[in-house]
Formats: sequence, C-alpha cells, structure tokens
Amino acid sequence: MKKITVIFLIILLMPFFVNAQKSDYKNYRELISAFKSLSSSYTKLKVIGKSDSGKNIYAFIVGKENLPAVFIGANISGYDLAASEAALILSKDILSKIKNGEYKDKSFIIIPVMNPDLYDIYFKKPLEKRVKNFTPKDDDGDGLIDEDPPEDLNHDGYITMMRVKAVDGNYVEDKSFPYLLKKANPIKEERGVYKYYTEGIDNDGDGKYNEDSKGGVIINNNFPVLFKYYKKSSGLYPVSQKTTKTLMTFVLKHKNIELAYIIDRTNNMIKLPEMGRSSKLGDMPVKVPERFGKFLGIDTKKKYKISELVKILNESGVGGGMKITPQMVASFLGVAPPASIDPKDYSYYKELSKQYKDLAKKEKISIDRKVKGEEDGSIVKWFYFNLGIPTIAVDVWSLPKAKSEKKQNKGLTIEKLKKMSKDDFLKLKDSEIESFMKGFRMPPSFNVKMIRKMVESGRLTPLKMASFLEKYQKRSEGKKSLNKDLKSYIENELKGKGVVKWQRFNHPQLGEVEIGGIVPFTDEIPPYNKVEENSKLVTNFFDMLVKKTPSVKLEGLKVKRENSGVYRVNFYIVNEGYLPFYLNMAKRNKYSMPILVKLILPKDAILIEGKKLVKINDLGGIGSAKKVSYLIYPGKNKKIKIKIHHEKIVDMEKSINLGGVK
Amino acid sequence: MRKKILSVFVLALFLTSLSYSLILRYDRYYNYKEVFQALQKIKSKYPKFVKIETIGKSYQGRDLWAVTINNPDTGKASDKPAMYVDANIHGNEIQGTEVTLYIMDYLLSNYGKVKKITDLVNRVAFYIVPIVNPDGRAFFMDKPNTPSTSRINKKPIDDDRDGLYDEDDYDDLDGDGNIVQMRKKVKPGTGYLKLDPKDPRIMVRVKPGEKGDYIMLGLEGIDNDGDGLVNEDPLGGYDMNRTFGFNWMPPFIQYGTSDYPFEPSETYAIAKFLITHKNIAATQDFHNSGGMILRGPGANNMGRYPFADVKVYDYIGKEGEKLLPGYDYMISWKDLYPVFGGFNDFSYRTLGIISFTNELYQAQQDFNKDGKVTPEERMKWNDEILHGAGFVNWHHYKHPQYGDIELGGWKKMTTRVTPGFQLEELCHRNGAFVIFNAFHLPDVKIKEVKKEKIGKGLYRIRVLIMNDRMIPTRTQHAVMKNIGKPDYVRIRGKNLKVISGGIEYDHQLKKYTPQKHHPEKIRINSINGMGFKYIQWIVKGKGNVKIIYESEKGGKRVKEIKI
Repeated sequence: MKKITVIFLIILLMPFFVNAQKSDYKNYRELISAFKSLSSSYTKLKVIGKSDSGKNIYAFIVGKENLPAVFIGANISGYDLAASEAALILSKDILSKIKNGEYKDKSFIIIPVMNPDLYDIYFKKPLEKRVKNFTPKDDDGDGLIDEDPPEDLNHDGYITMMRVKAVDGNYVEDKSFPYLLKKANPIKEERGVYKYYTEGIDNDGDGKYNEDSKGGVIINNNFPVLFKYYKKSSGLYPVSQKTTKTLMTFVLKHKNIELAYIIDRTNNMIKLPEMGRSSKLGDMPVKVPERFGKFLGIDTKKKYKISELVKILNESGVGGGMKITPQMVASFLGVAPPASIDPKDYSYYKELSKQYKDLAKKEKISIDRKVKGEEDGSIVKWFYFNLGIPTIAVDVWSLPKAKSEKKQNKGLTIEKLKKMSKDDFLKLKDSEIESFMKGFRMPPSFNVKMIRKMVESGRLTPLKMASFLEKYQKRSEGKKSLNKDLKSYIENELKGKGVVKWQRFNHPQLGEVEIGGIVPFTDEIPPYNKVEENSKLVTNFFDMLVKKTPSVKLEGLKVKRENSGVYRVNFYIVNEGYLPFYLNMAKRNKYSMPILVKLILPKDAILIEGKKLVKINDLGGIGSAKKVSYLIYPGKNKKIKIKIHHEKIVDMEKSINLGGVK
Repeated sequence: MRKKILSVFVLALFLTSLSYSLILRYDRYYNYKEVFQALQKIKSKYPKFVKIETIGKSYQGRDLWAVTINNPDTGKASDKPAMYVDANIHGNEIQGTEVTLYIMDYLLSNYGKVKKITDLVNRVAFYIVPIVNPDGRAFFMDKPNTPSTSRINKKPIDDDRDGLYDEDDYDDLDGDGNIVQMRKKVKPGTGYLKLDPKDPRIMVRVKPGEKGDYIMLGLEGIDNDGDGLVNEDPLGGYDMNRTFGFNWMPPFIQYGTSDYPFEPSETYAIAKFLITHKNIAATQDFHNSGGMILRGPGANNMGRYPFADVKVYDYIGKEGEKLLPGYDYMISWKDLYPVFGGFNDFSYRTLGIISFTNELYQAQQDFNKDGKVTPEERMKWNDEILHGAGFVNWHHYKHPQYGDIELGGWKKMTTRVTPGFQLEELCHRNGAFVIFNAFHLPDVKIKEVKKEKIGKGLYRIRVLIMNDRMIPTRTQHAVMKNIGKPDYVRIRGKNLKVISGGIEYDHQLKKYTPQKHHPEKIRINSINGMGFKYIQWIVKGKGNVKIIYESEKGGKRVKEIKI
C-alpha cells in the first residue's frame, strides 16, 4: 500500500522534476545520421577508429584533403551534447559558405563527438552525472574493480544525493537554496547536521558509498601534456585509452592542420591560458651536467638557481641572439616541462580573446559564465604544446554566473571604478567607498582611510585597484559560488526545474535518509533552445578565425639580366594572413616543418648563388616575408621553375622563362 | 705416476661436481634468426619448463618473443613471484640478448644439480624478452654498421626536414662489410687534425702553434639524394627507451622519443606484458656499455624514491657491484644523464616494481693501469688481443663528392660489444646478478598461527606472516600511490564468526588496530623486505579454520588450524 502511494506520488510529481529540455537532443546515432544527410561530392564522413567502448569515432571532412585544414573537434567530455550539436550547426554553416564561394583553398576536419562513450548516457535511466569512460578501474585501491557503483534507490530516474542526519554530520542545508547542502563552518557557529553521500548503497561493505563506480578514465585528462601521473582518473599512463590514441594518431597523420577549434567545456577565450606557471622555477637550485658545464665554463659542482643560469647563459651569447628564459633552461636541464604558453603566442590569444568578447557582446551572448580553463592532460594543451598549433577552445553554454547584488546596487562597481580618474575617486563619499569595499571582505587594515591616502599619493590608481579587486574576487569565488550560481540559474532560467525535492527513503544500511538535490547535468547541459542561440557565437567566431589563418604567398618576383649572361631571380615568401606561420611554441618543438622552396633548373644551367632547396622555417604574422634569391647561369633552354610546398599551405608553382627577360 | 693419477682423479671429481652442460655457446653472437633457433633448442631440451610466446610485432613485422621459465610441478607461473628480464632495446646494444639466453640455459642445465638453482626455479618464475628491438638487432648484425649505428627502431623519420624519409643513409662505399670513418688530407694549415707521429692510424687534434693537414668527414657515405649533404637522413627511428609512459616528454625535450608514449609497437608490447603479469616483482634490462648498474629516477622532476625502497635498491645494487667487478651502482639522472620515458622509470613508478638497468661491458684496455685509456692503448688492444681484427686500416677511396679520401676506423663488433673470449664471463656474472635479484623476490610464509581461549567459545587467533627476502611484496611507492592490489590476510571457517581483527601494533601487549569493516579480511598492504606482520582476530566458533594470505607479487599461502 505504502509503496503504491509513493509510486503514485512520483508519477504525479513527475512533470516537476523531469527536464523538458531532453527531447530535442539527438542521440549518437541520430547525430551521425544528421551528418550523413549533409553529405555531398566534396564531403566525406569516415570512421577514424574506435573508442574504448568499441564505438566508431567519425570525422566529417569537407574539401580536398591536400589543402590546409582547420580541425574542429567537439565534445571531448563526451556528455557535452550541446558542443556536438554546435558542431553540426557549424558544419552546415561551413557548407553554405562554401556554396557562396567562400573558404576557397581550405579544408575542414570535423569530429563531432571526440569521446562517444559518454554520449548516450544522457538518454539512459537512471541518469548519472559521470565524466569517466567505462575502462574498468579500481578507484579506491582496495584491489576490487568497479565494485561500488551508485544506485537509483528511489527509482526517480536520477542519481542524486542522499543526506542523513548524524551526530558527526558535517554538512548543513544551504538555507537560500535547500536542494544543496554546504559544509558547516564551526567558526560561524554552524553545527553540522547531515552526512552527505551520492545516492546508492555500500555494495562492498567497506563503509564508503559509491566510491568505485563503473570505469574509468577522463579522456580529456589522458593526453600527454602535463599529464597527472598517479591520478587514477587520468589513466595509468598518458594515451592509455583507445579513444585518445585514435584521436591522436588521426591528428598526427593530418599534417595539414593549421588551426584547431575545440568545442567543449573549456573556453580559452574567456579564461586565457595560464602565463608564468613555472615562474617558481627561478629559485630552484640545480646542478649543471658536466658536458654542458665544460662548454659554458660553469662550475658543475656548484648548485645554481635557474634565474642565475638564465643570466649567465644570456650573457654568454650561446643563445645566438635568442633570449633564454627560465622555462627553456628548466626543460633543457630536465627539471620541468614547459607549462606556460609562450609570451608572444599569448599576445595573439589575448587579441583573439578581445575579439571574441566583442563578438559576444554584439551577439548578445553573456560571457559571464562559469567556463573551464585549459585542463592539464587535455587535448587543447596537447594541440598547443606538442604540435604548436594555434588552439582555440570555446564552450557553447556554461552555467551563468549569478548576477551579483552589488551590480544592481546603484553605488560604486568595479566597472565604474575602472573608468574613474584620481579626482573622481577622491570625490566619492566615505560611505560609498565603504559599502563598496564591504562586498570584498578585505582584511580590516584595508580601510577607506588608507585607500584614500594611497590614491591621493598616486601609489594606487582607480584602474589598478579595480583590476586588483577583480582578481581578488575571482580567487575568492570558485567553488563557493557554485551554489549561488546554480540557485540563480534554476530559479531564474529553469523556473524551478532541474531539482529533485528531498524525500524520505528507508536505506538498508543508513536507515532513514532523504534523497534529492540537483538533476544530473543540470549545470552542464543546457535546455536545447540555448544551443541554437549560443551557436551563433561559436559559428561566427569560427568564421572570423578561418579568415585569420596564415596565407603564404609568393610575391615581389623580380628577374634581372646581369653582366655575362647571368640572371638574378628574387622573390619573397610572405604571410598575408593574420596568424603567424608557426607560433613560437611550434618553433621550439619538432613539428614546425619548413616551407620547401625548390628550384628546378635545366640540366645545363648552373646555380651560382642560392640553394636548390631553400627551407623557410617560419614566418611571423601578417606581412612577415623571407627573401629568396638565386644567381643563375642558364643553359640553352632558359626555362626555370619554382615549386613551393608545405602541408599547411596551398602548393605553388611558378615557371619563368629567363629568355624573355631584358 | 701416482701423483698424475691422483690429479686426474681430482680433476674428474671437480668436473663432475661443477659440471653443467650448457647447450649453447657463449663465445659468439646470435643474429635474430639464430636467437629464435637457440630458443627452440632450449625449449626442446627442457620442454616442461619453457614456454615461448609471441607478444607483439616490430615495425618491420618481426616477432617479439617472451619466454617463461617455470616449473609447473610447483605451481603456475602466474601464482609465483616473478623476475622479468629483457635486452637489446637499443639495436646496437646486442650482448644483453646473449645474457638472457645464458640465464635460461644456465638455470635449466643446473636444475636438479645445484640446490640453490633448483630451489629458485621451483619457487619463482622468470619472464624473459631476449630482444625488444628485433629490427634493430637484425639491422646491426646483418648489415654494415659502426658500433653505434643504430640504437633506434626502424620507423622512417625525416631527420633533415625536407619532406623525404630516410633518403640519405650511410653507405659501405668499398663494400668491405664495414661502415667506418672518412678522413681527408688537406693543405697544411687548413685542417684541424694531424696524424699521431707514433701511430698514423690515430688522429690527433693540433695544438696551438701547430698546423693541421687532416679533416674528418664523418661516417662512410655519399650524398644519396643529391641535396649537397652527406648522410643527413639515415634510417629510422625512435629511441625506444625514451617512449615509455612515465615522465614522457615530447621530442623537443627528450631527443629521440616518439610522438606519444608507447607509439612503437615494441615498447607497447612489453608494457602490456608487464601490466598483465602482475606477479612481476623485479625487472632487469640490459644495455651497453660502461659497466653500470643503474636505477632511476631517470630525471629529477618527479621527486625521489621513498626511503624503504631505496634501502632495497641499495642492498641489491651494492651486492651487484661485488658480483660484477668494475661495475658501478648509479642513479640515472644524477650519475649519468636525464632520461625521460625510460623503461625502468615506468616499471618502478607506474607499476611499482624494483627495476635495474645494466650497462654491460668495459673493455680492459688500461694496459699501464693509470686509470685512463688512451688511443694508443686501444690500438694495442686491437693489435695484441684482437690481432688486428678490430680496426680497418686507413685506405684510399675516390669519393664522388669529396674526391680522394681515406676510409678507416673501428669495426662494429668492437668498443661497445664484448669480444667472444670475454662474453661467457660477462653472461655468467650478469646472470648471477639476475639470479641474486630473483633470489630476493618476496618469499612469504605464514610462520605461526596461535590460538588462545579468551571466553566461552571466544578465541584469540594470532598469525605471524614473514617475508624472508629483501624485495617487498609491494614497494613503498606502490603502497603510497595505490598501485596494484593491496595484500590481504583472510580467516575462514565453516562455523566461524569473526568478531574483530586487525594488524598488531604491539605484539607483546597483544594490541592491534581493529579494522572497521570486513574484519575477516585484513588489509595489510605489503610485507617489507625481511619484514613481518602480526595479525590478530577475535573469533567465535569451532572446527577447521583457514588462514589465507594473498598478494599479487607475494603469491598465495594457506595454513589450517583447528579450534
């Protein structure tokens, strides 16, 4: 009887906590067939290999494969359905632009679902928020594999949370948003009430709940750059997963990729790649191996700080004009790999980021959302650090940040502060500054009087103060604000959907518990209508990027007959595109293959100056040019040919008849 | 006369007591095919003990073999602690393969004759991969080469970045089967070398104030692709001992590595072998040369090894120095050079296995014992020990690009490769080091089980478990990083109820730390080298009780008592 009532109640309440958004997303099969329906004479949908669960990974290839290619990889997280849908929308846009005669001399490689193993979990019951694939793994190190997965105890179709009142509980209800608990803070005189678990039973009787669920490895942590060794969800070793290997071998084979556009949870246009991450290296004491020490005249018995070595090396001239950085010394000595983006590359990213934000403003898409930065061991980092390819990562949708109450406040804001002059600031009332500063919870020594003094003396400008406060705010935000953001999103945008009310349940091990919380993926997968809306930014920014790719041309050809029947041939290989032909990172690693300029001469001609094969290692950004020059004594047949080849450019050929030159 | 008879008798006695008839010869080298035949020969003589399997293919399609040496009468190989040995990951570093052949041959021919060997073969399993780089060995042994060409595998690489792969290799110009050096006599004052006045085979650098009349032009070869450069894109490949999946670095940091960890099928195959054979508790790989017993870390960016494991390494390494005269026990990154993605870092750091790498062979060329080997002494070695067979004397050659030059230099089977007359001793001593290592694989015993009545039907059961060898059942590193399965000790009985149990922290006062959950299955994590653990249970019941110890690397032990 009781059971029936519960079931009846659930059915009755169903509409309140089932997500209406679900119906419109396609499952993996449907998505791929949507790509199939786009096929035409210049597209190809092919299987590039298998995932760990044995699913096909598809690439949709547009244009000739010998042309420079832009790589579009979506959904490395696997569950990011919005990213895959955006890749479909973007593909359609590319095709229509090609029809209109745009994107000549380019090809596109689109992998709509880079990690298909997690794609269909969204359509399965019970819905569980999982980010790991299904490779069997002993998560808790007890020697058993996948022995304690969560269970949908109340059969509502969701794996949510359980809370149980306990003497030693350390969680309390978040009063402003009862679907979430928060850690009790005894300093604030909060006494813990609940213990907090994911929904399920302790299958292996070890006192822990759901600590070893099925699988697995996070594919986007399994790439070899800054791979986290010993972290189980990263995998036993880099590229241990079939999915990772399939993607990498495919990318490595396509040497024509000049730009990578990754659509997933990461957005490196909102959260730029980290700079100066290995700056701590400067103080690390190291010894110099003898073979280098001898050569450089450095005492190999002494320990040096890396910063000292940088100084010595830069003064010695061994760099040959290149500035030697702490990161370079560190990786050379095998102390640490480069962990930071190159400063010059960063300036390109920064400029692109500015344009992305401007575009977002134009498209009226908020960038005030909780995006992920580049993760260690991710595909984004691999593309940039190992391949040296410009790698732009964008998300389609992320949880919007709760609008801070201060902004609605008519008083002082960070934005206002940024635009203020010194005098403007000093004109403010003490109370205005005070109420503004209150929001940041600064140490008490940082009071109005002191700030006034600093601004007066010029040691602090309003702009400096604003950027400092912004950073401070960001640091103190982080996880703490998740509850706030979720609450605001669920209340304001989902109108109360996406939550499961706490309900009593008689747990076989814990006794009476309550089950409820947030519907899985509410903070990761948006309502379907958001996808189309936000894809505009994904698509239009992509269009902007494609038009910024390097474009290498032969220009300024001059042929001159000199004395004694010899000919001088000069020309430039020049980059007409915005992005440099090779980022600095690519120059540092082996993947920057040179542009090959080949001179083909008749057999009886003599090349007096110049090389038959000129290798142009790299070109900077727009307008960067390298001169090629030959002095030729032609034979009877005065025809010569210049062939220019590189996988990332459109091959060129130029025939010159020296006989026709005066 | 009587004296003679007596000495013959003594000699005969000596021979019988120490005789073991190895079935292979160890004064020579085996090429790839011959290694296969040698393995078959060993297997056909000792079929019961030997299993040969193919665990992967090389880039050019050659088989990678793994040999299991195990006595099936004493249990399955996978149930015993195991020693893994491999060799020849670098194509030109060949003699480790002969060491591995010797180990198998020696163990099996002494089985049943020498007690220590018999006991060892009965107790542990050996997994042996004689050649990790089959293409490299085939190339080095069957083709003209130098002692150093080449260590890599045979995947084509565009070394000079001109879009072509392996298009300008070295060439045996005079067809004598050797790749040697090219030198050219030039106008006095334009060279940087001159001939050693005492021995014109030796080139010496000119000192300030002198004029040189020779230059070196590199290894024997021509400009095969007509790009104006000589030998700029030789065959292959990856340095496979930089492709393992721990602390792997891309090629611009670690020269010679592949595009990603375990890209070469060869290293992937042996990694998979190590991962799936969880009973491997020690590994040994063989390289050349220099006479070293190396352990990691390969590079110093990932921290030091934990103290308890260093103790084990130091013990085995320092004993090894005694067994291998002239060899030094060293730490790779500190005493040699940094290695990212090396084998023994992976096997220790990723899999938690005690791992050594030996650099085989030091030529004994220091004739005047001054601690230095001069070019003259090296020549003496060639002239008086090898009787001239190790060096190609300089001779004229007409080179298409360089004109009149001379060819000459050391042959490939010198400098790094042990000469035949020294090979057997090298095999035996390094084999003895492996056997010493294998002797110290964990040997766990349930030494005692005591029962004590403490109440009505209530008993205290106390168990002593001990490891009689130096290698732990799980390294400290493995325990700290949650690598592999923890060791467990269980108690079981039909009519038994386990009330409480745990590891004793004070045996004398009978104190133990109760394990909260599943007290019938005590997690002990590991038993250290020469270490022990006391387990205590409070149980209720009667009848037969089984104590079961289970460990991935320590094996399974069962003891029964009655209460």
